[in-house]
Amino acid sequence: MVTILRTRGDRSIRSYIDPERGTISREIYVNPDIFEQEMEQIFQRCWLFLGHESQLPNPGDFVISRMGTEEVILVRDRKDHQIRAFLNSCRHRGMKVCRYDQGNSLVFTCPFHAWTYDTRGRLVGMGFGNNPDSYNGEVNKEEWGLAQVAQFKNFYGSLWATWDPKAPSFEDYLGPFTESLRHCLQSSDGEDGGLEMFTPFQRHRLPTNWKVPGFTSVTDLTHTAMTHRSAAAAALQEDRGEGRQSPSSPFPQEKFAIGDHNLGHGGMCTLYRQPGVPEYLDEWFEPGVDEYFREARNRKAQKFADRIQPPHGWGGGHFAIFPCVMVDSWRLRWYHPHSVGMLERWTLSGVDKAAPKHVKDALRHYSERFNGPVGFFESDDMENWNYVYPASQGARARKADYFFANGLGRGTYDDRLPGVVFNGSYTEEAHRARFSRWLAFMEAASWDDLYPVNKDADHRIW
Amino acid sequence: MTESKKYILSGQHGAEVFRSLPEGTKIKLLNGAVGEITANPHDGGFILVKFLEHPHDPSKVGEEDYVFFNEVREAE
Repeated sequence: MVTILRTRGDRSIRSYIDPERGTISREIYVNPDIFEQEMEQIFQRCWLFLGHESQLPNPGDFVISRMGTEEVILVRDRKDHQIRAFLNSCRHRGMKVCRYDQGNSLVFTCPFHAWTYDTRGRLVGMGFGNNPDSYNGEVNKEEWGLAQVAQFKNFYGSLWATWDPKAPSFEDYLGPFTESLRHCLQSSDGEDGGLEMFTPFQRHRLPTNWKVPGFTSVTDLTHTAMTHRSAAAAALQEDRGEGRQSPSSPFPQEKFAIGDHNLGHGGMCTLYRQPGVPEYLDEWFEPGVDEYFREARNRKAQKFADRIQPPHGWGGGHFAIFPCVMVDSWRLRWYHPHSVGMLERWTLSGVDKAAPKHVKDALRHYSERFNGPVGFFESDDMENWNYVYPASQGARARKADYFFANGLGRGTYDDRLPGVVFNGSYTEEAHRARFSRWLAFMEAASWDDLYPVNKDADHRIW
Repeated sequence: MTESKKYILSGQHGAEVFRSLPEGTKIKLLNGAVGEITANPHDGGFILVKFLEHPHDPSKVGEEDYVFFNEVREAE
């Protein structure tokens, strides 16, 4: 039995979830011992999203990202121009070797004792390294480079890494969502890796547990209807034309909430029934934007003339990649835990690399209206997320359970996406899938116990 | 003929002067080696130097290596 070691006594991790009733103990969200175990069991093992290659276009460019509670340096090497990721912690005494969010550098010099690393993470010198009374030039620099991630993947411009050398390949980790992610990283005309991201990107710090948005803000249409009702009416219709929300494509398609309980991924899913792409129905406020996207759509239609598009999120909808990434066709959002009750939410908004300036400006303005400090939608969400945590962590409140039984027992499998449970539009199937995977990680001794390394594993608990 | 500029690397402003040394500056090391700065990250620690003379290890001539500030005797 895998237990959580707690100051108030040990308890089975499995006992925090009641699959029959569809409930989850609030302790999972507010208990610091569970949080510490998550950092070890989940964030040390999973493939985590780090950023996008367009953030580092030139040799020597770097940007700070995070893996769980820890900072990593993404840097494009000056010589081979490859991007790599290193822990931002000097091998000598652990000081941050990089204290800027982004920039361009020849080396990373620790301000403590001048241990210095090149853009490939190699130790190239230390203070008084040649002094005969101290290091005397005898330190094996090959051995003392920055800690590098065990596996790194540039997937059509998106950058991912894991600390676990035994983790499966990135594509196996994504499973049936591989093509969905690839599709979301295409430009509007269907070119692979055709996006670039706006920089600097948006960062919000929120006093809540990382799982509050990370596990349950995807495929939650009920919250959209309630939380965003006024913003949808005020912002989208007024800014982009009265008809903006009403067009519905006649293109044959089905929409579901889906969840892969073995992999933990899931979200809103559109399955297309025939080759081609839907007509362009959007209406932008800014002049010239509709023309650009209509032409891009037509070029994409040629590429998909005899191909069915891979399943992906509904229109502006999204799906989640376990443990903490939300993907849709124009942005990547992810949640970095800082402590049990604090996270940072980062948003990378994308635009076609080849788009003209007026289109990029329009997309950037839209992103700011949606996500920014004066934006409409995300501030709605953050209001909820902010108050979930303090209202759940008190001595009385934490004894209660969360209700996760919306649609429980109504999911079905579909051959078009093997292993994935399909459920109605307004269910919590994707949330339950993430908790199936969460429990598997929390109980597993290593990747040998986890799907897909263990092909026979069945992590579905409800 | 223009005289080369000799940088003052000691005293109150020595660290700032070292941090700002431009590429192409000729330096002499305490061990007698002579080189030219090929890159300066401007952090006051190391500079990247291409060696022009190296009395103790001639194989380093033409090579680049990182040099810590306290190993530099002169810069001009």
